[in-house]
Amino acid sequence: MSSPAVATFTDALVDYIRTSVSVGNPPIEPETDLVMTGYVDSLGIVLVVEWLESQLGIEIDPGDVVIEDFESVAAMVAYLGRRDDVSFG
Amino acid sequence: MTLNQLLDAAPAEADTEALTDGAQRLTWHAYRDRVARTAAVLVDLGVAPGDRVGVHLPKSVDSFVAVHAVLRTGAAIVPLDPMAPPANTATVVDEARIDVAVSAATGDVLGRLGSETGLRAVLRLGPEDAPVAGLTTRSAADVEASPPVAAVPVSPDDLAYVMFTSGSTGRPKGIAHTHRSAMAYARAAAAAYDLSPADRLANIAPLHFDQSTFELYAAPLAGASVLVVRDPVLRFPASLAKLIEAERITVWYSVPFLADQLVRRGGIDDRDLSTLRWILYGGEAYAPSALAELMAAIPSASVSNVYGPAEVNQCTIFNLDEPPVGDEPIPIGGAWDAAELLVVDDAGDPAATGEPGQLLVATATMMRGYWDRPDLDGQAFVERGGRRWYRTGDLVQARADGALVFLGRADNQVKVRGHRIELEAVEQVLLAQPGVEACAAVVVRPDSGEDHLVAVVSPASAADGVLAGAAAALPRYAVPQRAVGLDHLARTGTGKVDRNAVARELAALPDQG
Repeated sequence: MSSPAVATFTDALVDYIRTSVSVGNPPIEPETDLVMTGYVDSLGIVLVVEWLESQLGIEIDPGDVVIEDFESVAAMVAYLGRRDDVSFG
Repeated sequence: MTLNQLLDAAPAEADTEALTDGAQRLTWHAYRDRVARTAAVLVDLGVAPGDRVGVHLPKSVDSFVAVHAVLRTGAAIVPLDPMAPPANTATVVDEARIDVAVSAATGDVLGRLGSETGLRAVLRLGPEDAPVAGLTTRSAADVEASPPVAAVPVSPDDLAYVMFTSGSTGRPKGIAHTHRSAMAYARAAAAAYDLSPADRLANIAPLHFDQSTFELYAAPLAGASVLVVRDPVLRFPASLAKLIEAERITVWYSVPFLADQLVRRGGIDDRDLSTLRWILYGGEAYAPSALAELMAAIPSASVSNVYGPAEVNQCTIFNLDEPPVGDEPIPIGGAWDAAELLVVDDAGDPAATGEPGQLLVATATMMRGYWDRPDLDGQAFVERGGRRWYRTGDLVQARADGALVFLGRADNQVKVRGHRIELEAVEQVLLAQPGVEACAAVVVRPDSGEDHLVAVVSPASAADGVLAGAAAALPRYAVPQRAVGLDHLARTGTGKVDRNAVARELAALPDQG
């Protein structure tokens, strides 16, 4: 996987969460803890998972949606990078 | 025994684990030591028997330590919701006349509480612990440096905690429990679920929700350990399932929503959850089909439907060893050992089997009264046969086998086109319809035209056919006129469906009016 493609995808995910999931367009960076800050609630997590599935054409097993892999955009991208069926480009 | 002796007397080996939140782990010895040092800091801040101390912390090892430390000083706890807007917290601080708190809030929030209320001192146990202008502050370092203090003896009739509920009319209502009533609950709960040092309880409910008294008091009474589930984890059912497995949880107690999320989004097929022997739920009804799925998925666990207003903590129990069959609402059952029940009609006479009536409770677990509100006590209690009964305000009906079925709040009884309808009774029928995971029955009052009843169900796909199903189970006047599907229903901070918020959402939908 090429790193420009990862960076572009990361930006798009940050942008989606900031504008469509969080309330009030908060300052979100890839490393921001979305859970402790309250920027993403439990409904938000469902929305993010649905968005990832449709953008990447993959299925995410509910059992995979654990806090350490979804607490930040960087964690989500790292989780996706570990899957062999994900291509960011 | 009083609550402040529970930890010292806990029948568990001192070097075994007593309390964890994943981040911190304490043995019984370390738990007692931390509580005794924290109590020393509170005493140093001027806390004395008879005071009320605010516990304003997210769920954590610290929050459990703080509760037991306050009790150790002989003062009473007032849980303060750390997620509440500061203005609401200020109202409770004023109402309870709190001058000392343990808090993880920011300096800004504490500064505001200090200037707007009588709060004068804070033990800061959050990420920030710097001094705050206008307040005397202490930090975790002061806890470490303080010598442990012994529990201050209290009388069973002394105040142990005051739990505030946001009343619908502004002024919050504080439910005041004594050591006697809280201990009666702890004893009855530990016995009802046969708790022992082999148990590990998951604490799901926040401190300001009465379900948490199970883990706070019944657990140490039995020597059982507690896993405090931190709030962020509750948003990740798969993480919850992982925790239950890793921590070998034996007893779970939550609102139905969170148990249901485990089944739907927890990926539990791949987990070994066979340590679970009890799943307790309360706060609202469980859809019978969803409960059957839960029990099929976790066959090691018996299920207990727990009912009781916070004023009495718990008063009925209905246990299931096998998944329920059919669509009948799950009863709240009968009185548990600590309580006596009476169902009365509008005239105050005992209601006949099958007749709806208000539930009255006489129990040792009953609150002393509402904090500083003799006016409310007058409405809440009634003397009958030389005993004091609490009027629950809840409508119930006895089945032929004697088990009570919850019909709804008497004040959620609404009139639609002249008929009295209990909203919760309609919701129980909606919950039993195929595909319905959550629902709210909402009365819509248009600017012109008649009031009507709307069934709001989730997921959205479940709305089709819901009315036909409801029509088969409800009297005609109680069948909602419309069904609206929403994928997500608004919930309160404790995870119950928020009927008022759903009604507001409904009113905001473009085609309503």
